[in-house]
Amino acid sequence: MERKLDSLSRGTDNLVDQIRDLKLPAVSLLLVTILLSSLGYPYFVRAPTEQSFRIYLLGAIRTNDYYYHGSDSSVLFGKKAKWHFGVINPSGSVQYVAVRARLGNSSSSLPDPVKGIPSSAPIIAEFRRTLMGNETWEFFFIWVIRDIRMTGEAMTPTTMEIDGVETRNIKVSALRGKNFRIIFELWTMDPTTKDLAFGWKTQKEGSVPWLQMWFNVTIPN
Amino acid sequence: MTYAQQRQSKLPVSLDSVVKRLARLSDKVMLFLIVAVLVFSAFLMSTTVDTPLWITGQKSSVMDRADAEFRRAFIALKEAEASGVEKDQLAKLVDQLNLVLWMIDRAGRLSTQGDLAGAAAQAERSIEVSRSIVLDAVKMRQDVPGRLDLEKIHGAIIGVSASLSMMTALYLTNRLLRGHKAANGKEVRQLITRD
Repeated sequence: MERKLDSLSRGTDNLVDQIRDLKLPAVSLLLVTILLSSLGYPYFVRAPTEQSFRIYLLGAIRTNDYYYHGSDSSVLFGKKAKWHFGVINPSGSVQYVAVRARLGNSSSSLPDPVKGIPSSAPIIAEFRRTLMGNETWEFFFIWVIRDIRMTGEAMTPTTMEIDGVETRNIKVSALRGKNFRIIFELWTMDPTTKDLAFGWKTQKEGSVPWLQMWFNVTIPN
Repeated sequence: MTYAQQRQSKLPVSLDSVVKRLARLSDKVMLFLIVAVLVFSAFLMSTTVDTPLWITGQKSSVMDRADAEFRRAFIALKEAEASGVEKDQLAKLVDQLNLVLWMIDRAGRLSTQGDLAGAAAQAERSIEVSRSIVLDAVKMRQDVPGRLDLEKIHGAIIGVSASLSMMTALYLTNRLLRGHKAANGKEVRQLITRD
């Protein structure tokens, strides 16, 4: 019995010795695999390019002024107003964007930056573009009110022409034509849904770029 | 028998039984692991193969199709960009994409003006341009020098080295276990003969 035990324990010792002998080649092989994988990792695994945009709106002479026809933020019925809208794509990658312009009044809902919800005001124009990395896209936003309906003191610009395209049946009204606003929103292609979405999402948080211009409508004498 | 003796006698026996079981299982495990390693290697290699483009759902009208084809073209361009296509080549595709957007907008305007035939023709032309962008983007991806080849080589090296490591480890383990089993059997036979 004791001999049996001795032989079995010797067998176990042999096993341990053999495992020890094999340790070096096994670890070497593992290290070679890890090394080969890690050498190529920084080169082949590219950091995801995060979306990031900036928008701006300039007046008729491409300055932060001359947005209106009059000094009191008034726009004349039937007269064209010329603005410059710009989108900067600081990310180094190609992006597809859309600028949506909405006509609102003082009670229209604004975009919600926390929930990422766009304004509920009706869209009056949309401009789309594919941008190269680090490209700035600037376009004219030339607009004119073509038709107005007065219901008591409420003024409704029923037809607007933007960039040569007429938008009819607008139902936004304002008392005596005061406090209209054009809301601009930037929509981008969501990499997940492959569809246009308001703003964009980074790894940490979302961002919803928008801006608005208030104006009053004056009917020239 | 003292507690220490009992412990000494139990320990090698239980270890031995484990070793025997492992030896029995080793063939099946080895086969399974080899298959797993091969599948893993195939997966590594397949990461460099062209992936199918994202396609939107069924679209009915020509305008919707034009929009869907534009998106396909944009995604193809993004894939080309990710593959390392040069910026000047990408710029050409971007110009074409913007031409497609202009065509789609024009088709929309013609449609609102009541010129449905003109709108449809414009939209069809935009679809053709979008499709040519997809083809150009795929061709540009294939023509990217170096990077894609290096990706394939890297994938192959990882796959082959992982397979070799696993197979060598399995072979050595298998040999070790069989050697141990044979040694134990020989010793037991000798003990029985002596007794």
